Amino acid sequence: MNCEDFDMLMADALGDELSPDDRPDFETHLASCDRCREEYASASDVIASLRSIPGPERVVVRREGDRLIIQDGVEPASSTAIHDETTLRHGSARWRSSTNPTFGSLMRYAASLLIAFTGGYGLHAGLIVFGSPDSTASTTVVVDSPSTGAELASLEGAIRETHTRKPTRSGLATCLIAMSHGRR
Amino acid sequence: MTASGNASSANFETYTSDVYGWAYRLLGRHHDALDVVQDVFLRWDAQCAKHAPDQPRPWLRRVTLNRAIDLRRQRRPAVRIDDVPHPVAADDASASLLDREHLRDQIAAALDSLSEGQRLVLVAKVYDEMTFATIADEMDLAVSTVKTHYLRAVRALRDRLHKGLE
Repeated sequence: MNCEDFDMLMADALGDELSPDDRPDFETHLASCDRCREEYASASDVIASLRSIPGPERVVVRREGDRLIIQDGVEPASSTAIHDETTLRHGSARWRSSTNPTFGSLMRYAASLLIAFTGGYGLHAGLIVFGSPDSTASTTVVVDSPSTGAELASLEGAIRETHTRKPTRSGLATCLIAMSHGRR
Repeated sequence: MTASGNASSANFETYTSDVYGWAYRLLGRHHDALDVVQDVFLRWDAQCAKHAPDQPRPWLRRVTLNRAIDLRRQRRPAVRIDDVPHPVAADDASASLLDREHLRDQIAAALDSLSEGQRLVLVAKVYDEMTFATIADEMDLAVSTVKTHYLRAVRALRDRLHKGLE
């Protein structure tokens, strides 16, 4: 067997699919060819490295109406906490708290402020936010009113623009300025 | 919501753990992986509105890995594998964790450099533990082509990982 033919057997061996029939040929060539032996050893190391990276916890995702609800296994098994609950309405607001942590915190803060300032925006109780504004912990967000989604998208744009103009401004100042622009 | 929307979401739920897992392997962070799940779900919904993929799992694997790589490039722009600095830790436990994260970074950078076919075969083989025959069937390729992709991917990864460790 030449080295080129050995490649297919090496792929089988690296993929844990070497058949008993092929094993004698594989081992004979491996014992006689230094280059292929080194190649196989280093490739085996790569596979072991890939497998050594721990996999994720299991997540469960279900859809309820317009919401995509993601439950993860970060909490102890007894917990039934919902960690992310996200509206997935095409073309409308999406809660992307982790895309930009700083901006995510601002949005969370802004959402809290929105509840406080509902009179000014004429919003109905459709936005519920759990978690402190500055927390980076998991958040549950329910946006179940189409008009609230549009308002949130508009506010997100205003805050992003305000934040971009002066990133060093405090979160509270950024939110208040953005909301002030929104009222005009 | 349309009936097709309900059907597509029901199908998507079957694969969400896979989608999350593929993204997590490349990104290493829970919330980044959840971002990818959201994005892939939206693309899945849009695709199903036009024409549901005949083979959902390979379609989802391809879209998920591409999206995860895009996200990784956005988060860590223009970092070459040999530019990834090795982190320094104060104690053994932290060192082990940092070593693992460093290895994950290097592997992600190496996966990024593979061709799409090589990457898909490698992830299907190593992380999804599929047989060459099943991968070939899913990707509509010859088994020998799948094996060639696999070997080339492993060799490319080895060269890049060794370069990163030098």
